[in-house]
Amino acid sequence: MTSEASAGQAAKEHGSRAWWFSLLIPAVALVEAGAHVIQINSRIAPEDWRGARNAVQDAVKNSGDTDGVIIAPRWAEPTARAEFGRELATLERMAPGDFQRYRRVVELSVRGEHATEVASWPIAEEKRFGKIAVRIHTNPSYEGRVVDLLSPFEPARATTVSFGTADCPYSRGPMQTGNLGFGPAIPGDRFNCPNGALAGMTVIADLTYRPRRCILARAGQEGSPLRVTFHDVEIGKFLVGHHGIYAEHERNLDGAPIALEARVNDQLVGRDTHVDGQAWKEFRFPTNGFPQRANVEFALTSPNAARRAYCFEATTRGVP
Amino acid sequence: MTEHAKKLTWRDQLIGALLATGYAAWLVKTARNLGFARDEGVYFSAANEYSKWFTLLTERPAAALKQPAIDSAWTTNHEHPAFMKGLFAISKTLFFDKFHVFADMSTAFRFPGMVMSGIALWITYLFGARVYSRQAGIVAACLLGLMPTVFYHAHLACFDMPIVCMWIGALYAYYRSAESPTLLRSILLGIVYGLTLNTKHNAWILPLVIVPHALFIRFRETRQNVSRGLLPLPMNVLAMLTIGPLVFYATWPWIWNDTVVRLQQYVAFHVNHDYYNMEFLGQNYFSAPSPRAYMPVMIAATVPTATLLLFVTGAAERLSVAFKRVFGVFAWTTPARPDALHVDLLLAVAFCAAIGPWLLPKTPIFGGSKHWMTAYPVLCLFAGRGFDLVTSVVTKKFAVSDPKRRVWIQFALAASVLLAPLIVTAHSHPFGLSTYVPLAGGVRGGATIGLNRQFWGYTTQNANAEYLEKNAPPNASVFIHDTAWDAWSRMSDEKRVRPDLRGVVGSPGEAQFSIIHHELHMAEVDYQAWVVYRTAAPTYVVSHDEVPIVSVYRAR
Repeated sequence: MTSEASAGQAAKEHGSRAWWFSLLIPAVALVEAGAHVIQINSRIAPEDWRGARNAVQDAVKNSGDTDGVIIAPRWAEPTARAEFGRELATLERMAPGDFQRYRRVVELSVRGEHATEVASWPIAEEKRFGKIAVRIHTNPSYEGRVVDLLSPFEPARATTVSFGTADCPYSRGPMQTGNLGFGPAIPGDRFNCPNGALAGMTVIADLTYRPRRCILARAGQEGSPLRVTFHDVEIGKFLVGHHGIYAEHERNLDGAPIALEARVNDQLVGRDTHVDGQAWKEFRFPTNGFPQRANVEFALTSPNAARRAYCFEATTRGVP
Repeated sequence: MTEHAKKLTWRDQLIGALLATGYAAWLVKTARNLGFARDEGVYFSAANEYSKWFTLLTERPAAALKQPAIDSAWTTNHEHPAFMKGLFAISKTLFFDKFHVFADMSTAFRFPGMVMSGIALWITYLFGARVYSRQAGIVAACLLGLMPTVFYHAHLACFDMPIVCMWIGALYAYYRSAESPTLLRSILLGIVYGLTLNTKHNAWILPLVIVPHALFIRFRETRQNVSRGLLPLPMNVLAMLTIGPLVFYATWPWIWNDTVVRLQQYVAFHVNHDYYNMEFLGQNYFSAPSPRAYMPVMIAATVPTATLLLFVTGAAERLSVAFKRVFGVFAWTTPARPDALHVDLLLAVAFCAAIGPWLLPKTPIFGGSKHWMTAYPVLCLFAGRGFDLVTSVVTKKFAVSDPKRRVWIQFALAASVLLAPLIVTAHSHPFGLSTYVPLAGGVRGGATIGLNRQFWGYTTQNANAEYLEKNAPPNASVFIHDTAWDAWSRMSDEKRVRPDLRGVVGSPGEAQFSIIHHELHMAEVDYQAWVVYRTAAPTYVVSHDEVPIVSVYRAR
C-alpha cells in the first residue's frame, strides 16, 4: 500500500469528520496570505507624520520644560525622532530621568499603542492623524515647579566637583566613545579629577536599555567620595532624582554598590544605595525648612570602582 | 509513510534538480542587494587565504603540504571547519577569477552556500517522494525554501544552510543505506557524514540520531550479535563512524598537524562559546539559561503558519500510526504493511535532536532561529505528509474521479498553502532577520512583541543605498557600528557602498556619519551617537514595513 493510498484510506475512514478540517488548512493559509498583504500595505502617510509632528511641536512650544514627550510603541521612536528633528528631539526630552516631573506629557501614539508611563493619566486632548494619535496627558500627581539641576551641568551654573580632598577642574575637549561594550559616551566637557575620576553629562542605557540623560560620575579610586555640588539652587519640597548603572555593568549583578548622600547647605537630607539589579532607581528626600536658595551636594562612594559606569540625575520639586 | 517506500526514477531527480536550480538561481538573482553579515566578512578573508593554499597545492604540492604552508593559510578562522570555506575559495577561483561567471567576488564566495541550499531542497524532495509521495516531496521542498529565515541564510557565505543540507543529506544517505544495504551506500554515508562533520559542529549530534535508530531497527540482529560477542553495529553505521572521521580529517588541513591539540581547541571553542545578546519578548538575554519558550515561540513567529499547520497535521497522523503500531489503538490511518525501517521514528528523532538543545537550561541564545534550521527539512517532510492527507480528504469528499480534475484540485490546494510562504518570503528580502509571519503581526508585530530585529550588521548596505549614496559629501567618514571591517571593505570594493566613504570601526565620535543597527542591546551605541551629535534625531531611518532597521546620524 502506498503512502498516497494510506492517505486515501484516511480520507475514507474519517472523511466525514476530516474534510472540513482539511479545507481549514488551505483556508487558514489563504487568510495568512491576505493578512500579509494587509499588513504590508497598511502604511502611515508622510503627511500624517508631518501633522503629528506639528501637533507635538504646538503642544510643547510654549511649555518651557514642563511638558514631556513620549512615543509609543518604543520601536517607533527612531522614526518619530527623525520626524521631530533637532528642535524637538533634544536629549532633555528624549532621555528624561522620569515623566513624573512634567505637568503634561505629549504622547505620540502609533497605531493605537500606549506608553505605559502615562497610560493611567487623564487625556486632556487628542488629535488624530491617520494611524497616529497625539494625546496630551495631564499628570495627576504633578508636584509643582521643577528645577533640573542638570541644565546645564557646568561651572557657569555654579557647579563644583571634588574628589577626596582635591578639586576637579572643568575642561572642554573631545569626547570618548566606542562600539558595543564601551559604555556611555564620556563627555569631553567635564570635571576632571585625580586618578581618572570625572563627572560630566551623558546619556546612558539603563538596565532596561532606556536612555537616561544624567551625570556620569566615575570614581577613580576606591572609597574616596566624589562630591558634586550645585550652588545656589532653588529649593522646593523634595529633592528627587534617579541613579543607575550602564546596563552591561549592572546586568551581571556582581558589581559593588554605590552610595549616594545628599546634603542641603551641608545638612544631610538623605542617602540611598544603588545595588545591581535595581535599574534606574528613584531617590526622594524631603527638603522642607530650608531657605529658598541653598547649596545641594551629592557625595558618591563605592568600595570598588571597577565596571561602574554610574550615572545620576537630580531635580528639586515643588519649588515655589 | 511509509508502508512502502517508492522507487524513484530519473523524473524525480529531474524534479529535484529543477527545484534546486530554481532556488539557487533565485538566490543568485537577489544576492546583490543583500549586504554582508559580520561572519561573512571573516569567511571571505579565510576563503581568500585558503584559495592561495589551493593554488600552491596545484603548483608546488610538496611545499603546500608542509606545516608552515598549511598553518599560514589554515590558521585563519580555524575555529570553524574547512569544507564550506574551501568551497568558497574554489568557487571564487573558478567563477570569479578564472571564468568571470559572477560580476561580484562576493557572489562567487556565496555561490556554494546557495547551491547547498538548493541541494537541501533537492534532498528534501527525494526523501519526501520516497517515503510519502511525489506531491509531498514537492510541497516539502517548496515549504523549506519559502521560509524567510531560510531564504536569508541561504544567500550567505556561511555554514548555516550548508549544515541544513548536510544534515538532511546524511539522514537520507543513512536511510538509503539501511533500506538497501550495500557496501557502496555505506561508504557514501561515511563520506557524507565526514563532510557534515567538516561543515559545522551540529554534526556531532547526528550519531545520537542514527546509531540508536540503526540498533533499534535491527533489534533482533543486534541482540544476537551481542550474545555472540560480535560488534552489534551494522555496516552503514560502522562506515559512518570510521570513514566519517577520516574524511573529516582528510578534508581539513588545519588538523593534519598537532591533531589532538587542535581538535581540543576546536571543541573547546564551541563548548565554551561566548554568549551573544538576543532580544526576546522585549528583554535582552545575554547568558544561560535561555527561556524555554524561546525556540517554540520563534518557530511560531518565523515559520509560515500554513507550513506549521501542515506539519502538525502530518506529524499527528504519523504519531497516530506509531501508536497503532505499538499499542494497537488510535490509528488515523491503517498501514497495510509495517515500515520495517521506522522512517517516521528516524525523522522524529532527527527533528527532536535538532531542536532539543534549545530546550536545555544551559544552552544560551546564540544566533536566533538559525541554529535549529536543521530541523526544518524534517518539519517540511511532515508538512508534505500533511499536504497528502489534505488533498486525499478533499478529493475524496468531492468524489473527484477524473484524473485531470484531481490534478487541478491538487494544484489549487498546493497553490493555496504555498502562496503565503511565497509572498512573505519574497517580501522579506533583504530584511529576512527582521521578518515575522503574519500570525505574529508581521515585521511590526515582531517589533511590538519584542523580538530580535537583526544581527550581524548586514543592513549597512541599505543605509548606503537609501541615504549615504546621495547625501554624504565626498570622502565622508562613516561609523559602521556592527558591520565588520572585512564586510565593509568588500562592500566598498564591490561598490555596494560608495567607495570614497571611509568606514570607521572605532566609535561614533570619530565619524561625520554614524550608522546604528537597531537591536535592543545596541541602544547604548545609539545613545553615544546622541551625545556625539547633540541630538536624538537621526537624519535618516532605514525601515522595513515602518519598523526602524538602521538609523543614520549626521554631524552638523
